[in-house]
Amino acid sequence: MVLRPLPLLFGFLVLSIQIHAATSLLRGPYLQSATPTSMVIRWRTDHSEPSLIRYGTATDQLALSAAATGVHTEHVVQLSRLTPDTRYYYAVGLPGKVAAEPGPLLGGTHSFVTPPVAGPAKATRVWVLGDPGTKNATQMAVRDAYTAFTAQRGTDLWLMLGDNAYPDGTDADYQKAVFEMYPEYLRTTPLWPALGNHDARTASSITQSGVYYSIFTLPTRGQSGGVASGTEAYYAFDHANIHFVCLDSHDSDRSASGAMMQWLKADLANTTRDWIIAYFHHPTYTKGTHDSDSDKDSEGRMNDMRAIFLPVLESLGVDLVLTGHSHVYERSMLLDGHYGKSPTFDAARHVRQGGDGREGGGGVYRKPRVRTSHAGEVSIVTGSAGHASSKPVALNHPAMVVSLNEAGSSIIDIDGLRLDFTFLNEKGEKRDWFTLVKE
Amino acid sequence: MRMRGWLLLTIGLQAGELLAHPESEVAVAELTRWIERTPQQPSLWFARSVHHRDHGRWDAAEADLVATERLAPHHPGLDLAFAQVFLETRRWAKARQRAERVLAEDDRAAAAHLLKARACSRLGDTHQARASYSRALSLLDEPTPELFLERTALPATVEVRLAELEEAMARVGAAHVLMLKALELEIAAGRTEAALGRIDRLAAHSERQETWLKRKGDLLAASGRPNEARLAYRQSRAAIAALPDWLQKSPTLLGLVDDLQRAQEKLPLIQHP
Repeated sequence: MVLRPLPLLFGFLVLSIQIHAATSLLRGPYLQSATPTSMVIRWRTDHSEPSLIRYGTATDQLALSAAATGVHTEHVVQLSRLTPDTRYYYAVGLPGKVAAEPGPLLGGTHSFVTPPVAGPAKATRVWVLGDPGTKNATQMAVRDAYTAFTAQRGTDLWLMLGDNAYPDGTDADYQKAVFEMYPEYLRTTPLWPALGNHDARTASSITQSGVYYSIFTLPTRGQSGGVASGTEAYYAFDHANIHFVCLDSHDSDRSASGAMMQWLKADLANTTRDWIIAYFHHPTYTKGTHDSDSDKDSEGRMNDMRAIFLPVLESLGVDLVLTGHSHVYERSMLLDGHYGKSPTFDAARHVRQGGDGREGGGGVYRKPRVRTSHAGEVSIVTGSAGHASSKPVALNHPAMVVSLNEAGSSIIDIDGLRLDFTFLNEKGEKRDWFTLVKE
Repeated sequence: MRMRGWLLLTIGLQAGELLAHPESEVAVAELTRWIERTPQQPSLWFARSVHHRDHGRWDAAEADLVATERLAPHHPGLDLAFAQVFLETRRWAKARQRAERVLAEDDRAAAAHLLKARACSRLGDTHQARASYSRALSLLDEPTPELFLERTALPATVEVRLAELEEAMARVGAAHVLMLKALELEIAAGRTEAALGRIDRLAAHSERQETWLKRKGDLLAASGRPNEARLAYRQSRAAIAALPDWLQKSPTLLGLVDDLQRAQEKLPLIQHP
């Protein structure tokens, strides 16, 4: 058979144009590792393409572009030299037919706001989802309830406290439970996740391998604020006057002399932010679908976080400790120094301030403005963003002032030296709230 | 290192749908029912062993691996899983043997190199342990500081250990724990100038300088360099003074100011060159 080159070339051209035209987004775009001057944007396409982002400060003027080298289906592009606290519009781009010519856009134009410069206060809203990844109607209801609640306010950042995608944290699980569940939040608001036990079924912290570590780009070099951890398993970041620390309660060394603890101490001692919020998967106190009094439950991880890490968090001025794992909502009073099991809880010794922490109720919680060791923290288990327990649970931990077996998510609003916390159930009902002020 | 459930997925486990329940106990019960129905299916035994391993039930995990091996001696992931169980149950020689079986088939299996390194370390074969750690680290895209520290914990000269830490920092960046370990080694070796350089590096990566400057002053004072120590202490006080008032008044920093005062008072009078 003799090949005729012209029709063959034409065929290739047609094929390549068809492939190019058929390229579509499978995932994202989603925002990672935000800093006041940079943003990592990731997405997935069904065909290998150059990684190209076009962006600008007006929706109709995406005059700037950023790209990664090579062609990929998993795209990771960092936008740099951005202006803090500024809205940027962006779109995933495809290459033009001619190098100098911009190509078509893939998907629509989206926007995000860069974080403000770290340090000065700026009103901030944080959405907190614990154990969301069930992919079911409850997860959707929790999401929709928050969307209605926040309305035009917008969300500055969101946290996932682990077990982000059931049952095994596979790529397919993440596709359904995260990427198809929260597409709008993902492309407008930086997501800061923690590793849960179900995520760890398909990921290993010691080797930073597996699905969780492939999907997320998290700050290892202190680039988002805080001290460099060298690993995505635990990390820190700043947003305005808030310092966040994410710990790996499942798969990293939890010993008092371990690398995570060394890093945590250095990181907390280093920050000058007004507020410190710690989050991780395994709760320090719970009587929900898990029992923090049981040595066997979760192989002692809850004990470790309470007996080894909580003393350090409290001594270095942490204000909130957010966890999931237990598929309930439990919220403590302003506590300090309770590192044993629940029978050892002594309100006289361990409660810095009792009551419900509400204006008009028992009074807002107050901490001194001067950073003081052991001035108290509020521990919150908010692990029901995907489902509550289907069976009755004890919900009788004495450190808790509110305990609910309800699906929902949590919202943190910080404005200057005032922190307002809300638990919103899947019906959109405000089921708990408190205020913490520094003075 | 614990084996991960993702291994199941990579080997195309037939019973994968059985693991769809989020709670391990339920999944184990379900797998047990399937095993009772089809006991000749090795992937079911293997799947159950993963759950046992994930929850530290080593005896049960080993029993399921033995059953898997009886039915399918070449079951994917079997040797690696055995190596892990043997390592966790302190049977170092057996762990090494199983890891080597994996490596005989695939020399690029980072997890097997890591298990072998740990087993060799426990067996006292430092040379092989170091080699296996190095191979594992070279194969991993994003090795963690912890893994580099494991290798650096093996006996070696200070020069070797510091070189390993420098390699680590070149790979993962100036992670705090790596810089701290390097400082510790320099001080233990009495290498003052190098240690001072390490402190400067740590300070350069910190938003707050005061504790590093205090540490620098302490090291200089201990090395008989009071003028430089005095300067470092002053710089530490200046760093504190530059912090917001609400931090300066914190008990921690008030304590540091007291420490600085005492340290300065202990220094001999100013020496003129």
